[in-house]
Amino acid sequence: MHDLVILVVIAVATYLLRGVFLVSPALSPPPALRRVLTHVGPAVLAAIVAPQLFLIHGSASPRSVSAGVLAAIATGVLWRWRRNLPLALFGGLGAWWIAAMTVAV
Amino acid sequence: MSVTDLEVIAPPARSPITDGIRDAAPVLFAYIPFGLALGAALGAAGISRGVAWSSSPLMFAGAAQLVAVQLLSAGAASVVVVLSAVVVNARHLLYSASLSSSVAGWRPRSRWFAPYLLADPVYVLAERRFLRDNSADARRYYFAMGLTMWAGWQALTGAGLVLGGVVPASLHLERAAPLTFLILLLPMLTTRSARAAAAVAGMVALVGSGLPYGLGMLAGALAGVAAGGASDAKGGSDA
Repeated sequence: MHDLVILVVIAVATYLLRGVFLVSPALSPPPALRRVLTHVGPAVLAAIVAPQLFLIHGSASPRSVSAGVLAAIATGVLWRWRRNLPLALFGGLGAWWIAAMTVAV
Repeated sequence: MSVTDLEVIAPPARSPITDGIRDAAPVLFAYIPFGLALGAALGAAGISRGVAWSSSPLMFAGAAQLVAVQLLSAGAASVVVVLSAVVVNARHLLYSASLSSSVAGWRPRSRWFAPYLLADPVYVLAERRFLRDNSADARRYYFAMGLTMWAGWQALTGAGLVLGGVVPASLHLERAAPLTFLILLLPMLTTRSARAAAAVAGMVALVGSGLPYGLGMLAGALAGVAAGGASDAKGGSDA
């Protein structure tokens, strides 16, 4: 029950974040807030991505880092090449799988 | 008038609803690994499986669902869980501001319902459509595309929850999460400030990854926003 309440609170907050300027189109964010917001996306996503990409169970090894780097490069190159989401994602996963199998420590 | 001329004058009419479903399909396809992995993580989090999965219809936000459920299962304080999820979803405020003028002419009930569907990939597809279409078709497109993504997401995370123990661990489906977010991140890196924000955030989050309750992610996000602001001050928002 307690967990559900927390999830509902997050859901309401998420709705408000997504909805404030859609529900009231007359509102617009002040320029200073808009500038800060442009950095939130890259910062949050990078902060989530980096540990998951380079660490295994919270610790870095040459093997985990190099496999993660190779997977990221493969994903980035495929994405820039074709702008095709499935191609970049599955290509990156495949590269990671191969790299984790073959990279020597 | 030849057949060719006719085709030029009247291209095969596709309804905005068909367009929306067609555009959502490949994105959903690419979200299969992450959706299944998230569903499995929801099932393994040690909190009620039904409650964990309810985050899908409640939030419809994969990154925040992952963070919230991980923190709940780690026993983090309620305020930390909520704060982390709000930080993770704060970028949606920008999506809201960015689409605001495009939906200004919609009926109020459409404008009230639209935010519920505004997840990352829905925003990306909507923005692309709204650039060239601000007719009533744009609204039909938005809801057809958004509801397709929504239904697919409920099904994928539900399937992941059920199949969690069946999919072999050697497939490493969990690797889909960072790669999916990476593909969301790459198009944002158009300015020096954005690259500074991402680089600093990633490094701080790596260094802080041993901190309890996902505080490394929070510290990384805040440091990244600060770095982006500092880079702006040096004129880094231009290139």
